[in-house]
Order: sequence, then C-alpha cells, then structure tokens
Amino acid sequence: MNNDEIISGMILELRRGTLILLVLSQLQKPMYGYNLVKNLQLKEIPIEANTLYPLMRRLESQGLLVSQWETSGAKPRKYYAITETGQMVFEKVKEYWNTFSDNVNELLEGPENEE
Amino acid sequence: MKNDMIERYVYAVTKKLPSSMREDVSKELNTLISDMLEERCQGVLPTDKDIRVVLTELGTTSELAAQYNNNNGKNCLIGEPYYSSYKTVLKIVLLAAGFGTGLASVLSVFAGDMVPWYEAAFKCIGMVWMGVVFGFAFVTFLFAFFYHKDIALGITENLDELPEVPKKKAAVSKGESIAGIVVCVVFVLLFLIVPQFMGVYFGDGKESIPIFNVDTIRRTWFVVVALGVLGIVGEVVKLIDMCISKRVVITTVIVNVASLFLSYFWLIQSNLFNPEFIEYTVSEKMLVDVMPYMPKFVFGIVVLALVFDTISTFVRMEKGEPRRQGE
Repeated sequence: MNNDEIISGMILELRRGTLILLVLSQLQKPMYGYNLVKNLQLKEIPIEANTLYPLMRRLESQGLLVSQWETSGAKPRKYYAITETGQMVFEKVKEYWNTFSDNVNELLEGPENEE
Repeated sequence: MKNDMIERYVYAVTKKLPSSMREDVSKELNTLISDMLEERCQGVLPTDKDIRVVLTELGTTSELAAQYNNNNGKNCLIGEPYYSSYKTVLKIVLLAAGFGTGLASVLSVFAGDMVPWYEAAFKCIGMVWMGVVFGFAFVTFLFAFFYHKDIALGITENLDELPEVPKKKAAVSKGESIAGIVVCVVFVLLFLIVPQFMGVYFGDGKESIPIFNVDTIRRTWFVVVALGVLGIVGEVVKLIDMCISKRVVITTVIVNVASLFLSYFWLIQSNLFNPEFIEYTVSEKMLVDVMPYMPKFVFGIVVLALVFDTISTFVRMEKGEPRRQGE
C-alpha cells in the first residue's frame, strides 16, 4: 500500500466514523433525503446520495429515524425525521464526541507534535 | 431510449434486493434520479448523456444494491470470529478426508481385480477429490450456518491449559536426509532396472537364481516407484525443515502408513518371491522353517521398521534434543 492509499484510507475511516452522528444532527426536523445530501455538501461534508439513502434506511430499521412519503408534490418524496430514541442516542454520542474531540485535539497539538 | 435506461437501471438495482424493500427503493431511486437530473440540467430536458452521467454517478447497479443490502454488517459467508476457527477445522477435515479416502481407494483398488494402472489412478484421484470436496462443503456450510445464526462456538480459553512452549527442536542432519534419499533412489533403480541382480550366485557359470519374481516386479513397478517417491518426499520435508517439526512428524506418519499398505500389497498379495528361489532354499535346507512364511516374515520386518521409525520420530520431537548436531 503506498502512502496516498494509506492517507485516503485513514480519511475515509474518519468520515465513516462521524457520518451517522452528522446525519442525526441534521434531522431534528423532517427533511427530504436529497436536501440533506446538498446541505451536508454545502457544509463541506463530502457525502453521496448512494451512501446516504441506504444509510438512512438502515437507521430507520434501527429505530433512530422515521420516514414518511410526501405524495402531494410532482413526484413522491421520502422525508426522514429523528425519533425519540434517535434523539436520545444522538445526545449521548454528541456528548462523547465533544469530550473525545477535545482530547484528540489536545493530543494532536501537544508539545511533542508542534510543527 | 432515455426513459427506458432509467427504468432498467432501477429495476436492475431492486432486483438484487429483498422483495420487501423493492417498491420503496424503486420509488426512492426514481425520485432521486429525477432530482439529480434537474440539478444538472436546470430545467432543460435531460439528454442521453446527462442520464448516463447521473446513473454513473450513482454507481453500478451491483454497488448500489450492495449498499442497500448491507444486512446487519453480515455481508460475507463466514466472518470473524468464526472464520479463524473455520480455517483450522477445514485444514484438519481436508487432511483427514483426503488421507482417509486416499487410503480407502488405494485399498479398494488392491482388493479388487487388477486393472490397468491408469484406471486405478483415476479411480483413486476421483474418490479422493470427492471426499475432499464433500469435507469442504460440509465444514463451510456448518460454519456459515453458525455465523449467520449467531450460534456460539463455545471456545473458551483456560489460562491453565495453555500449551507448553516447545523446547529447542531436534535437529536433523543433512547427511541423514541425503542418505535416506540415496537409499530410496537406489532401491527404485535396483528394482526397476535390474531386479534380477539380487539373487544367489553360483561359482561355475551356473545361472543365478534371483530372489524376487522378476515378472511380478515388472507388473508392479508402480509400487516400487510409489515406495521410492514416498521415501524421498519424507526425507525432503526433513531436509527443508532441518528439524523434527510438526510437519516432519505428520509427513513421516503419512509416508510410513502409506508405505505399510503398499508393502502389504507388494509382499503379501502379489507373487513377489521367485518360486525357484524358494525351492532352492528348501533344497539347500536354508532357513527352512522360515521360507514358507518368507513374504510375511519380510513384511513383519518392514512393519517393525516403519513402526520404529514413526515412534522414534515422535520421541525426537518430544524430547527436543538433537540426536546429531545440525550442519
């Protein structure tokens, strides 16, 4: 494995690790899948529809999200929103993330790692 | 046809999904593709090219279906922690099955009517292959079942039962192995080319009496070759490992057992000994008591030798002391 592969592999793992947390954070109000894709992309979180849609389906099967078809418009749209369980899970993980990322940043900026 | 391509794409994806998901995913994808086209074309009618770009962006139908199909992260046939156990068990079973069916088929060939050697070989290979394949299928199916049904393997570790650290391994000298190989080669050459050399010689121009029935040897040449090959293989493994490793022990056992069965066939079943020779010894009153039982007697010696060799190999491995210094 050359260095570029190692680097992109590590970056991919970081993104994968935080994706569900981010998705949950954006679904406090019901949102349409494609809008969520665009929102995240605007906020510089690279995410593709072909990853997000199956992911949200999975989260729904786990009880963290709930979906509803909107058939009033020109085409049918599926809206996802966070459930109570999802909210609870989200808050717990967000708490952990805050502590964890602080610790990570501290270590990364530690005296030994000063550039 | 543009619309057709989208339809076909969505159908291809949903076909690979469980039926419960199909309709929902199909609706979802159609809307998504339409949204992506809208974004790309900004109100202008999408061209063929636009559709292709969007569908390519979504990925291949297999990739997209795989994303939807990720069922509880159990995507493989046998995952960890089952996979490691599976590999171990599989090795054992395949060895046992291969060896077992090999032995059984060899025995059945010898027990039955004599058939041309190639027919016998094919039969043996066929039986071994079937045995191995069956073993593989059985173990694989079993472990796949365990994995997907989350059946506990019950493999608990007990700190008290951890195996001992092996002592320094018994070294095998190169000379020992090379000598062994030379003996095998000589054996094969002797029996294949000039079996009649081994016999009783008389001084005054009288024809010698070979010990072995030359015809039989000619017919059973494959046994000679097999015995020689087995011996050489055993010695080569010793040579490679340079010590009495597990591999050496296993090979030695397999080689010795196989040699045992081959010797049985060769010495006892076939007419190995030259009747003239037997007559001669009777007439000369040499070893009279032993002669009628000559084949069995020789076979007995062979058995003893093989058993002794096997046991001594085991002992050498256990003791872990070099009998001779390695070179």
